[in-house]
This record gives sequence, C-alpha cells and structure tokens, in this order.
Amino acid sequence: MTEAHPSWLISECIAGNEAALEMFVRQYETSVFRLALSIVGDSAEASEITQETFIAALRSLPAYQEKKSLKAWLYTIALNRSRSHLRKRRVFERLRATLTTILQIETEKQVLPEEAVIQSEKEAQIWRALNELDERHRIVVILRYFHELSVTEISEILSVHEGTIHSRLHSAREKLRSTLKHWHGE
Amino acid sequence: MQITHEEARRLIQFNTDKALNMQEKSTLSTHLKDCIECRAYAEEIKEVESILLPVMQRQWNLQPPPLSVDIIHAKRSSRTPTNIILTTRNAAISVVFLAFIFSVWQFALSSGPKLKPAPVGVPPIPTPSTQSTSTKIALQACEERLYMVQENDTLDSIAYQFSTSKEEIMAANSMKSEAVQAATELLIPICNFTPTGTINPEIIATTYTPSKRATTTTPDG
Repeated sequence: MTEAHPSWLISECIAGNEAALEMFVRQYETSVFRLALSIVGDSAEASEITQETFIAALRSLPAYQEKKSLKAWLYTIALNRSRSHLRKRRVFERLRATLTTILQIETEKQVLPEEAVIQSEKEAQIWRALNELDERHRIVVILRYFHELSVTEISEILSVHEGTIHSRLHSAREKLRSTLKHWHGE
Repeated sequence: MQITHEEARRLIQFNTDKALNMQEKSTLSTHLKDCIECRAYAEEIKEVESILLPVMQRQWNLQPPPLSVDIIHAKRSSRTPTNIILTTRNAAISVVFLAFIFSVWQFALSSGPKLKPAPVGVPPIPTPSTQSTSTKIALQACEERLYMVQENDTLDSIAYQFSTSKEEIMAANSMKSEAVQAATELLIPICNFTPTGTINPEIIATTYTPSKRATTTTPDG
C-alpha cells in the first residue's frame, strides 16, 4: 500500500472521509502497536492502547499543528497512553501487595512479558538488564534501537532536550555494557 | 589534540548516536588508534547494540490484530455518553472498594482486643519460620507475643521495639540473665506497655518488618 501524504490524510479525516480514516489507521497501526507493545510488553494491552491512541488522535486532529511530524505526534499520544497503562499496573501491583499483607492471602501475581524467544544466555542478560532499567532510560533505548529513531526525533516525541536524551542513552548503554562485561568476566 | 579516556568514552557514546562533527570524529579516531582500552570500550558498546536490536525485534516485531475502523469512528464521535458511564462505574467501584478496605481495617482493629488473653506458655501458632521475613511475630493473644530473636538483637533493643521494659520481658520468660540467643523465641508482654512509646498498630496486628526495626533500635555492640 502506498503511503498517503500526511497533510492530505489529516484534512480528509477531519472532513469525515471514511476511506481516508481507514488509510490513516492502516498506515500507522503497526508502528503504534509495536511502540505500545515495546513499552507495556503485553500484546492484548498493546492493541487496546493502539485503539485508544487512534481515538484520541482523531478527536484532537483538528488541533494538530504540523510542528511535529504526524508519526511523532501519534507516537507521543501512544507513549503517554502506554505510560498511563504502566502506572495503572503499578498501582494495581501495590494494591495487590497491600491486600496480600493485610489479609495474609496469596493473590495472583501478574505475569509479564513473554520471554519465549531469547536465544542465548547473553541475550537473556541484556534483556533482563533492559527490563531493569528505569522507565525513562528504558523508553529512550527502545525508541533509539527498536524504533530506530534519531535523538532529535526522540526529543521531539518526549518533549525533552536532546542533551537529556543523549545522557539517558549514555547511562543506559553504560549499564547494559557493564552487565555484559560482568557476564564475560564470570 | 589530546583527550582523556573519559572524554574519549563520551565521544564514543555520541558517535554511537551519530552526533559527532568531523573534527570530533577525527579527534576520536586519533585517540582510538593509540588507546587499546578505549577501543575495547567501543567494541563493548557495539556488542551491546548488536545484541539489543535482534532481541527487541524478536520480542516485539509482531503484526497487530487489525483494528476495527468502525469502532474507532464510532468512539471518536460518541464521547460524552461513554465518559458518563465510565465515570459512574469507576466511582461505584471506588466506593465499594473503600468500604471494603475500611471494614477490613475495622475488623483488624477490633478483633485484637476481643481475643481472650491466653495463659502464658500456650504452644505457639506453628507459623514462624526462620526464613520468613514478614511473619516474625505470631499472634498468640492480646497480651503476649512470640518474637523470634534476630542476630544482633539485645534485650534492650527488643524491649525498645515493643515499648516495654527488659525487666518485664525477663519476668515473662523467667530469664536469669540479660543474654538473648538468636533464633530462640521470647514472649513479649505487650498490653502492659507504658504509654510513653506508641507502637504502630499495623506492626502488632499483622506483620513485623525488619526495616522498621532498623530505624527504631539503638545500635548495639
């Protein structure tokens, strides 16, 4: 499918053209879904976030200004949604822990992400270290490597200075490197 | 131009993100020519990258189930009703939940004193194990608690934790000296505590957390 021009898509979607809406969704759904999946790690939750992202985007499309690229703008929405899902999950986890303590019962722990495709111990180390990074560092690493975005694009999406993105990438890579080094050393 | 290893590493990092100008690039490559250490560092960063990308791709390069454009279209235009329903539902859930928590709390508060004091020396509830960190106190009765003596505990520190006196603990356990031995159990008379120190009721009613102790005890020798 050839990609439609963003500004044409936007004006047609605002005008209520259903074919344009369909094109808009099809053009970006995979990247939005993968972004959500990479942040929350659960594909069902990621589909939910993808849908929420498009609904939110279409509602605020009239206010969209072409300062950001359409993709960066969608990514920003998707990222905010994903983070709010993560927050909810953390609240739920805390609640679960509290209930477990108060009632002295075992509640079911949420099992997260599918780790079926790890191929070597080295990969497992890196994967674990990545998931242990705090959210701010993990997100920039994911955007930089998995989504192959430049530092400029990441700073646009997160509305954070490029210098900050650089420094987060530095310290994240440093942590991953030391994990690997430690592993080699053993 | 001479640069330190620290600066070289910084440049390597920037280079990874394609953020070096020509001059910086040449400075870095001059340094790398002579510095084995920094070359190794650059290699390690490269290795991290080379592992990171395929792992992420295998984890997340999934095709999404196609979204229903109709649903998106419908939800986009029907904003208010959904929100009212959602808000009401969330409010109802919150109220029920708060009521539940409140009743549990009340129950926990009231169930303590209602228990009849058991005579001293009743066999302990068989929960405490030395490995458990959360349940170190077994509830025996209102007045008496079993406490598993930890490493570095002294009679003073235990008495301080429970806001009681060491004499009372010694009397309750018929102790002749102040020495306590780790991994033995002590009966702690709680209801007799003097009102100078207050104990967090949660600690008594449910759990005992070692971190709490660390902040309240006095260091011992």
